[in-house]
Amino acid sequence: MLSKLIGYEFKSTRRIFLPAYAVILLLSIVNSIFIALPNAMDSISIPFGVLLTVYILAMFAVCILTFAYMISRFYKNLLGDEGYLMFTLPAQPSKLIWAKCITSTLWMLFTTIICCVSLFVLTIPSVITEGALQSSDFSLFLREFRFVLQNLWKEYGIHMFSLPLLFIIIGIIWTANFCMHIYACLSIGSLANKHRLGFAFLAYLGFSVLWEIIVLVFASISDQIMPTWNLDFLNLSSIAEIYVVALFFLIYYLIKLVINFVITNYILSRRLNLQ
Amino acid sequence: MSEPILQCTGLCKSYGKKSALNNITFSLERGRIVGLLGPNGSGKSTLIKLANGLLTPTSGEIRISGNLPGVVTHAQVSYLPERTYLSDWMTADDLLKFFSDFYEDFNIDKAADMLTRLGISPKDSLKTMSKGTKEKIQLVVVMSREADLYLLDEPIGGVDPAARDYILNTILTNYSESSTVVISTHLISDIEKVLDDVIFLNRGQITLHKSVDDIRAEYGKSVDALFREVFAC
Repeated sequence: MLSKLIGYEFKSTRRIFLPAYAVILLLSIVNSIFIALPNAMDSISIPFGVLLTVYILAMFAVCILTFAYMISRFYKNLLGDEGYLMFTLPAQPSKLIWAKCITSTLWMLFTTIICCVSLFVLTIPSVITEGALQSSDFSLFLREFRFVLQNLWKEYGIHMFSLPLLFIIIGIIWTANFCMHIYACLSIGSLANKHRLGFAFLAYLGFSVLWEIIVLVFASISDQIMPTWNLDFLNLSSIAEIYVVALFFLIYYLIKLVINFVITNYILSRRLNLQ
Repeated sequence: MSEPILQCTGLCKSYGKKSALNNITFSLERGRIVGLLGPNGSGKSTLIKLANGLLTPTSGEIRISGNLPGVVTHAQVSYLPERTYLSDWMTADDLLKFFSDFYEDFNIDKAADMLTRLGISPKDSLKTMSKGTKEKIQLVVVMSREADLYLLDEPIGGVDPAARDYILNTILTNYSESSTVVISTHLISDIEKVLDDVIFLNRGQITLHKSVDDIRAEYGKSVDALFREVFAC
């Protein structure tokens, strides 16, 4: 059932995201061609300037779109009129919530990847022209790159893959928690009889204040219990310490994700009140 | 006697301080067409939404075949809400596939056939359709399920009188003998001829629950006439 719901979710959202991604990639290709043109900065500076501005604005727009769509999709499809269809499907509310969370997280991930790829496309001509298109320079670059990789492998071994992977996983969990937190706030807002979005925003502010208090209390308690525990996050001396800190953040965001899910699921399965 | 298809016990629902349903207790047997009748704001939609789990009771409970509203009952109940719940990006064909994906009892051939007879092309986008056409499509998909209980909230409220006959005909020809159909409306004269039982709902309370035959025998008048008398302003 979850895979069916995710499939349907992608079907209804891809018609927005795929064209947006195509526009971003197209703009970055056109811009990189302009950059590659000789004397581009002098003779065609105005159209180039306009194109570059459009590109930067489009990058912002696609990021805002991803964020706004995550909110509006949950609000409209579950808490709005479409909720009449979704909540009468033979599917547990938890599956409806996870389908939304997984899809939004993946779109955010894809948006990040597309932005990185488009920036990479934009830098290709400058890398090539800097090297004056000489193949010997390019092979030198490849040799250097291989040398750096070999050194990293000698120094860190398997950790040069496992650590970035761990950071990516933390990033994904962080993003999922970010979506689920917004869902929890929207669900709390839906408990009100009117001004539901306003109450959702208040819930968001309330959570932020509450979380600050919890962190402060926890920090003062841990200071008293373990006064000698003083880990300098910016100056980690060993690989093991980096793993400990990374795992700490992984568990921290997983716990937050679970808490936000429990709140959302409780409201949507036990306290649902569609207007 | 078999278990009632729908059973309410001491059911109450309030929105803030305003009470929408007040201590309702009744049950519905299988194989009946029931009219849920009452003026605007009498609690008809609230009752149907509670049966679908779209609202949570303030107190009391509502059961479908002995189960509280949930995954099991959603598979047994076919629900037509009083509003349009369709996503605009879908075509009629997408909607049929969606229903066929999620409901095991959905008869896609029957639905496609009904749409063709209504002159709706499967490739038509829902966005371009009128409100009345969307309501007809919703009714088609809802009645193309082979469900135990059909809960139809104002199925004839928003369409013209010619379409009403089509809709009532669709309802009558598409439910099986063992299923129960609940039709909520205030347009009684149009549906009176198809009803077995009626429930009068007024200000959140049941004022009458009888078979149409009993009403005619007891009061010597039609349901419509009785309704006008009971709910006279």
